[in-house]
Amino acid sequence: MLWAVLLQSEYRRVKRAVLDLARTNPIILVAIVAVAAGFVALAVRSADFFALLSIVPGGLSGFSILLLLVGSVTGYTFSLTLPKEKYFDEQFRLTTVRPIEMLAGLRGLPLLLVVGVTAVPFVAMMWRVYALVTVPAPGVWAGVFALLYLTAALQGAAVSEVLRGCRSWRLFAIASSALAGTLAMSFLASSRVEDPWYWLATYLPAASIDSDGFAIAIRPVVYVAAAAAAVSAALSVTAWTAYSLRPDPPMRRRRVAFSVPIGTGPLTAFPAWAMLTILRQGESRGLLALTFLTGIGATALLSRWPHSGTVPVLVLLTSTLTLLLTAVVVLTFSEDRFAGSWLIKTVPTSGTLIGLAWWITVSVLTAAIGSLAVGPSIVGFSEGGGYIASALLLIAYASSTTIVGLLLPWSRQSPFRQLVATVALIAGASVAYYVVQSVAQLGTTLGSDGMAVVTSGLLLLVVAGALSVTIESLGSRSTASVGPH
Amino acid sequence: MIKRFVIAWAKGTVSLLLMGFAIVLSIGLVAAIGEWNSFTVGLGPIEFLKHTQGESGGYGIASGWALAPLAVILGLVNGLAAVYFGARSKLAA
Repeated sequence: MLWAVLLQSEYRRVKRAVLDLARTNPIILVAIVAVAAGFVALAVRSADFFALLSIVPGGLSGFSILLLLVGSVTGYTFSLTLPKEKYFDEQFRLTTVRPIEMLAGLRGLPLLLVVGVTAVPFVAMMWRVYALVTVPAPGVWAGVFALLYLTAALQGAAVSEVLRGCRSWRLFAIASSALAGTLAMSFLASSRVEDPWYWLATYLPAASIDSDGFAIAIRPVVYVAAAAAAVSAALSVTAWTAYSLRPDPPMRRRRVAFSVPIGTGPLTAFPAWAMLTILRQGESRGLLALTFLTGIGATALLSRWPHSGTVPVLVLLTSTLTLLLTAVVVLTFSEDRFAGSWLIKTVPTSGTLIGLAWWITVSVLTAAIGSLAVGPSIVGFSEGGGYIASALLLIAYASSTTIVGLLLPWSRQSPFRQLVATVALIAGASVAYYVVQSVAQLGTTLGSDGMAVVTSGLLLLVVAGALSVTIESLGSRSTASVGPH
Repeated sequence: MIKRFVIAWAKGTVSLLLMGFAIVLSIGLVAAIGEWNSFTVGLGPIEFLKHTQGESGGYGIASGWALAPLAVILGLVNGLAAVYFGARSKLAA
């Protein structure tokens, strides 16, 4: 049972990580557990409200689709974090390990466990929603929902695998056919209901208004729905497995002639290098695609959502999520991470220039990626200049968050530098907050909220940039004062 | 030891503050959309979250700033605990 041994090794890896967190940051671990428990309670508590949505035409199916999309994003994200076979290639080539065993132990079962745990609050919530809207056998329907949630997660994981590159065309064809089959099945089975995007949740109960104006529940035959959901799940498993079984070629070095006229100074070379690396690195590319998919997908979904007061809130939430994802993409270049460390440490220039180059890079990248990802929402849902201004503020905020990611003194070598960085971080955040509040109040008084929001965003960016440059300068001075031994 | 303490303090403060923002924003939004009854969450004179039934909006990231002192204190506890557990693990080794 080699897969069991590999699964145990994964369990030990997670256990080590949790114990390490408990030893180094015990309060954060307690807070994470408390937040998770609170989220489950809030999900069940909110079921009453979501049950009310069912009386809005398309409300119940729209809500189901939203949760299935959450499942899809969960699968996509966790697929990115799972260990890659290529790290074990040399070891496994020397033994007779079958790829399917390796896949089951190292990736398949861990993914299923993680998705299963995240599904618990949503399944509990849907169970209660179905009971509240008096759908018969709510437990069985919650089970069908759980199966579809798993399907959505595996489809998300499959898309993530595609973006990493599938080198076997035969496996690619099998996986793509299976993936297309799940979507086609769902689409063909949904012709009887006119709700927008209902075909994404076609096997689940929906709500409609009859000729007398009363809400009625529309539900497929439970056995047919359960069977269809099971077939969808099987097809999704096939798609993900086939995409994941791609053989990794031996490592090889490639030399790429870099002839773009970008100059040799850090202010131009660093942003160009970062932009190219985002496109070339598997993890960064996956996160970038997730950012775009979330932004464009949310717009497409919400554009046909039933008109109600929840749309602006959902637009705001998805825009914020998209911008935070943007920040995560750019954070892969932080000094703490592998991507940017060698460049930052080896560039023969002053700390001030490195700080400035870093600030320009993350600001330009975050603003560019964020604008492209949130752009469709702005075009689709803007009412006047206020929303665009808010989006600009969020972009600026995300840029600041990215820079703060660099400033966090988590892996600095000098305790003095860590102390200065921490104090500067707290002081800078307080000053930025005070200025933002003052400008916002002034803007409200003058009746120009949009301008106040934009000004606040730019101020945040400037403060964060000044901090970045100062701390890098301090770092270079402390290094210079130590000198070579 | 100082390094371990400072890192854990900074990390704890910032992480707890971000969690606080997310919690206040989520509960505020759910309470406003779900039309919950009025309630106040606070510690002494500091109000972390105040919801009044019938009022819409007003819940933003700024609402979470009241948690900042609490985050700094808990961050400090995080730093002290990290030093304690670090020393224990060294002794055990």
